[in-house]
Amino acid sequence: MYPQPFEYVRPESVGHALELLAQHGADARPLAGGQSLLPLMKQRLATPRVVVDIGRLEDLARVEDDGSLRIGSLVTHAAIEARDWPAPLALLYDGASVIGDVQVRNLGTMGGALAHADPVGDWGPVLQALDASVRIGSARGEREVPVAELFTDAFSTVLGPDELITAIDVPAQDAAATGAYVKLARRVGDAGVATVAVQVRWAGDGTCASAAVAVGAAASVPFRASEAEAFLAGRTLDEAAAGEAARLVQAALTPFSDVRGSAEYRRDMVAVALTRALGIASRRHAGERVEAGYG
Amino acid sequence: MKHHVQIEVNGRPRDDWVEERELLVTYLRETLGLTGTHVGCVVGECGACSVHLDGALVKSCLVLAVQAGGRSVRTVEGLGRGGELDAVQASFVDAYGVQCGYCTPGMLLAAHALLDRNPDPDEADVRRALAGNVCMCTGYVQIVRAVLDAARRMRAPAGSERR
Amino acid sequence: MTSPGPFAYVGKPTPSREAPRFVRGRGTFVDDIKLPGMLHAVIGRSPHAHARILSADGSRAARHPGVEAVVTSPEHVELTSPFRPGRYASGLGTHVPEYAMAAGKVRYVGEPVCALAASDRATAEDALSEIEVLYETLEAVTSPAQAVAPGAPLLFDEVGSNEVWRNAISYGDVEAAFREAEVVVRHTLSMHRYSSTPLEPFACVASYEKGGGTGALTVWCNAQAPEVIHDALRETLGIDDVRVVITDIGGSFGQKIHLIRKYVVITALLSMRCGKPVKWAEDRTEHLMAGGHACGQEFEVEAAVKRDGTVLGLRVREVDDVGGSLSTATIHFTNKLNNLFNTYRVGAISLEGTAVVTNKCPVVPNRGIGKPAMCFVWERTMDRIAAELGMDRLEVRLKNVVPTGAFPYTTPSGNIYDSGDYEGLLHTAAERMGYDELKAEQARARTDGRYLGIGIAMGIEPGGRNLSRDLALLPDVKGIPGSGGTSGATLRIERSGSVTVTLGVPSSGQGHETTAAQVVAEVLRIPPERVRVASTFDTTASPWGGASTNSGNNFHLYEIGAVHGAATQLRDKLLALAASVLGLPADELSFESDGVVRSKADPARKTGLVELARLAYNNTVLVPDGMEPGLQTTFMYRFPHAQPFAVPDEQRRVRAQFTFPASVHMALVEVDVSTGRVDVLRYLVVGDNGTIINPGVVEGQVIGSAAHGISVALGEAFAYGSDGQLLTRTLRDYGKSTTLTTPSIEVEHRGMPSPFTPLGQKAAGEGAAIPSPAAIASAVEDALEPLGVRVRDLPLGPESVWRLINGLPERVFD
Repeated sequence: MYPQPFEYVRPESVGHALELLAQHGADARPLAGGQSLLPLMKQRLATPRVVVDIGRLEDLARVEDDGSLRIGSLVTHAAIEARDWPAPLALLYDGASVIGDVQVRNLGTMGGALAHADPVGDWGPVLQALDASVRIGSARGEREVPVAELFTDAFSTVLGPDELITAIDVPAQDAAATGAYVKLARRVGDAGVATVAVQVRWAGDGTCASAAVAVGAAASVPFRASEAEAFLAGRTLDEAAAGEAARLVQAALTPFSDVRGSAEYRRDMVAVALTRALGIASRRHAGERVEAGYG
Repeated sequence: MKHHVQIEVNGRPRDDWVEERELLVTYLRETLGLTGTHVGCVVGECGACSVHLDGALVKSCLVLAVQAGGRSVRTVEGLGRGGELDAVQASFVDAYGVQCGYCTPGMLLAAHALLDRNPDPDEADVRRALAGNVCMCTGYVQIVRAVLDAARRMRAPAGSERR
Repeated sequence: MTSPGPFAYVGKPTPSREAPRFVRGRGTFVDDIKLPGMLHAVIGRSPHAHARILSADGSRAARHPGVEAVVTSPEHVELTSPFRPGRYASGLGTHVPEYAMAAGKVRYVGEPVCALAASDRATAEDALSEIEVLYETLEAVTSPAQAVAPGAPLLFDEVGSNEVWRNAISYGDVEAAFREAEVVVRHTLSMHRYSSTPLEPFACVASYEKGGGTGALTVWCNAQAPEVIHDALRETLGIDDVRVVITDIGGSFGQKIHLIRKYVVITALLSMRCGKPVKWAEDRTEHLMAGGHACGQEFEVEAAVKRDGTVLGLRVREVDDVGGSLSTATIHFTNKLNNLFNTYRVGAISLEGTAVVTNKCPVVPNRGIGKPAMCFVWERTMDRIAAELGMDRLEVRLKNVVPTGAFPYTTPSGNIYDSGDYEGLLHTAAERMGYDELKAEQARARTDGRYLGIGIAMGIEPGGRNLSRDLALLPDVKGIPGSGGTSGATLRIERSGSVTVTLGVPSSGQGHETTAAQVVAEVLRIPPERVRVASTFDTTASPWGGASTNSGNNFHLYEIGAVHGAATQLRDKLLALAASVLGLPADELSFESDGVVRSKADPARKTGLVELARLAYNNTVLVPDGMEPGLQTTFMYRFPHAQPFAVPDEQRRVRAQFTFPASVHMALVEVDVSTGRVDVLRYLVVGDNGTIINPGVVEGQVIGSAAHGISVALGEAFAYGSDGQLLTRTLRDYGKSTTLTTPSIEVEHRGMPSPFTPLGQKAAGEGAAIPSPAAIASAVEDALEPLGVRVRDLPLGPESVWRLINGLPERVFD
């Protein structure tokens, strides 16, 4: 019920936060929304000696949208959900709206969720499909890492102990692009068992010029299904194409088993999620208002 | 070690010293004696501890008391005025949306959070807004009814709703 | 004596009197209680599913700053006595002492092995890791098949087998039924482990004071059966002066009857050790691991049937996975005597059962205890019979239900169904649901590749315990379990004319205060708002007895009976007093509303409640000889129509329970055959709960228990790894339903009063949790009929349904 004892510090600035992380290294954890870290600490599965509360750093909580989109790492899921995104960024609404519940969305942050690297996390596949990258800051400087390269294993990222995600950069999308994030779960509101985010750039003749396909919840890390993407480029997105793309994704998949789903169920559900996501992206391309959600 | 926090609770300023690992729910229940906010789980998945933090619905078991410094908190004890039930509370009573009472404070705060931003919700809106609040007794039907009734009451012209 | 109406207050939607304090956040739950000097306890639990406890050393923890008491398993065996075996374990061949903590061995993950009390909860949690417990791990068994395989490790060496109990009972000529059968329908079925997971986990405060013999112990706890706690504390701790106080309980559902006693004893022991009050409140993970589960049960069923659909008899073999304790090994079997024949007029049944211990959480009562499974057996079998005979599922039920007009109906096992119109329930449900229209819609949907299914299930909700029931199965058991049952109510009319009721049971959300006030109001003819109902149960002040549990199941009979009896006694006394005051015979007086007693012949001559009360208390010379002064009475209710079969006869016929509500459930579902997900589009309950005292309260009970049964069917479930580790340690992992996954449940009432109860009331509590799992199973099978899928097992989460559709074996967790 209660964490192990720890020291609490609240830095006044991003720079101060990075100094503290440099100072304490692996003994410290940054606290953003707390919706992932506090449950771990309360179960004593995470036992940081120092908690660096970055939750008030306004500099990290802005959305800058002037040509290219920069989302501060402390922007909450609720703020993303509430924002009026243009059609090519519908994936951002799709992703935000299926995270947890109202309470979690009000406090949980995009940066915090990415750093937590839960295999069933929703931002991983969504941001991968948008070709997003994260800006990582430390006392040593800044670097940028594509979200497709951020995750190394379940609950592991390339972040060093002294590093902090400061922002997520989403490159400009094609004006006519549409996407969809389908989250298959045991029950509506539960964590995903197989989730797929697709972002399609359309050619003038209605075929798929190129597609990004990102798979989540089915393997230890979310990933871009590059063979499936290569296959879909230039094709009509009909049932047959979706089926073949699904087979290619499954071939690249090493699903895991847990209480929510066996590996074989996850494998099959990835195909279903992909087919449905492509279907919704196509319908949105045709101008239909379609909810993606829990499939 | 103790940290100094100033938190506005139900409209009144508080000035206290809290331990690092004191949860907001513990501060409310133990330090302030506001035992209406309840604890039903560990990892913040039942919603019984829901309160408003700066007007947003949050689970107070997933917030450290020290994180709430300089902010305002509203609990079930801050609903209603002078012992009178507010429209949401009254609707829960009238619609039999209360059985054991353990989820009730969290449900009331969740209902308020919904009605604060959407005064005319439909059933799907209500269910979505309360999806983070688990009830083991009622099967939710009478709770949903209560929230829809409350919305109607609150939309009615002032003075026409009487308790 | 039934007074079925018309009623002034019974049946009206009188406002809830519990709700106002709860919407203000002013309930008093155990964790809200603070006593001066109070310490906080934590329980240390076994990380292993099966192990011997080699040693335990609490000395380092005892030195942790802030810690004031430590108890380990070996110490507590020295300090306490084992529980006396209770009715849930009656009839077990070998008696193995059971203590509050594990003793010598641990048999499930989470079993309590040590405890400490410290200045605050966080400090207690810090110190807990300093108690050193050494284990020798043993191989764990996690299924009955594994547990009874040759060479399997034994949980209880003393018993010599993991199959700890066997029993069989039959009624009617089962052999003849199968000889005469034109068709024999066979299948295997199962229900899984689940729980009603009350939102408030177990909690207690114990305060022990030394002196005066064995000292005095007061506990506040959220237990629903005070007798269990009272007995447990006296038996294990050897204290005579025990007081159990129960304030508000955040949901119970049967879950807070049995295993909670261990934790009250442990907390009390800590208080005895340090001489201070100690509070303990478990967290959700602890409750899921060790609070108790509903039993996983497997069935082999054979039905002897005629070609016209008439069921001649049933043979059922059952295996119960009872987890790591002997103390509740029999209840899921014995409870089936309550609804053994369900709603059907069938002549013969045989039921054979075995209880197998496994290294999982012990089983406990849970919203139905065994009855949902018995109903599942009946209702899946009815569907199967319909399928094999090519009959409509409603038709086959209509063919077999107890006919309207046959009530009161005595089943071959000795239950007497008080009243009912089962055919009417079926017809009403079909009409209200639009059964024929739905079948047409289903056909259309199939051509569109959509799979809609209509599910049907019906079940009785037996109510009102009879302690002698288990003697039918255990004829050699003496002493416990007893017979009949009683609970009481104390009613007091004050000199001011106000009325106070003290119930003999605690409450946990079923609206007991509300309904009790309505009953008093009805009899005394005063508005319910003038009746005050005490909301705290206290063994030193509440009139409790052998049926004092707060379940709606027992409350409706014993407690309402007591309240009604007490109010009737006081009403009669008021009349007698008035007769004396007015100098008129009592039968010349009419008892009017608002406490007025008036002469029929001369209406000007009257007296009133306040006047009579003042006389009774303060003018005792005028109280007639032979009459006690005051206007207070305690009435202990005993069911007056318990004969015949109040105790089992030579043919083992017994009244397992005394009132018999019934309901028909119909569900409309859609199955997504790609994912296996089941969405419930509509759910209807048409029920007979007899005379309903408060419609809002009853609707809440019906919807709430139906919602739980639906959630059970749709996937809430415990899962264990092959090493006995619980994989579902959070409510989300476990799969509890939320507002997003619970359908909007419609309820229609078609109540027929019971001829046996004072107001015609029948039970209204857990009932809708009994048919609902079967209704969902029926709907899913109906939806997937074109794919040849048969639904025999629960739960029906998406992966389970996907496996059925794809012909894959059931998932095994490793």
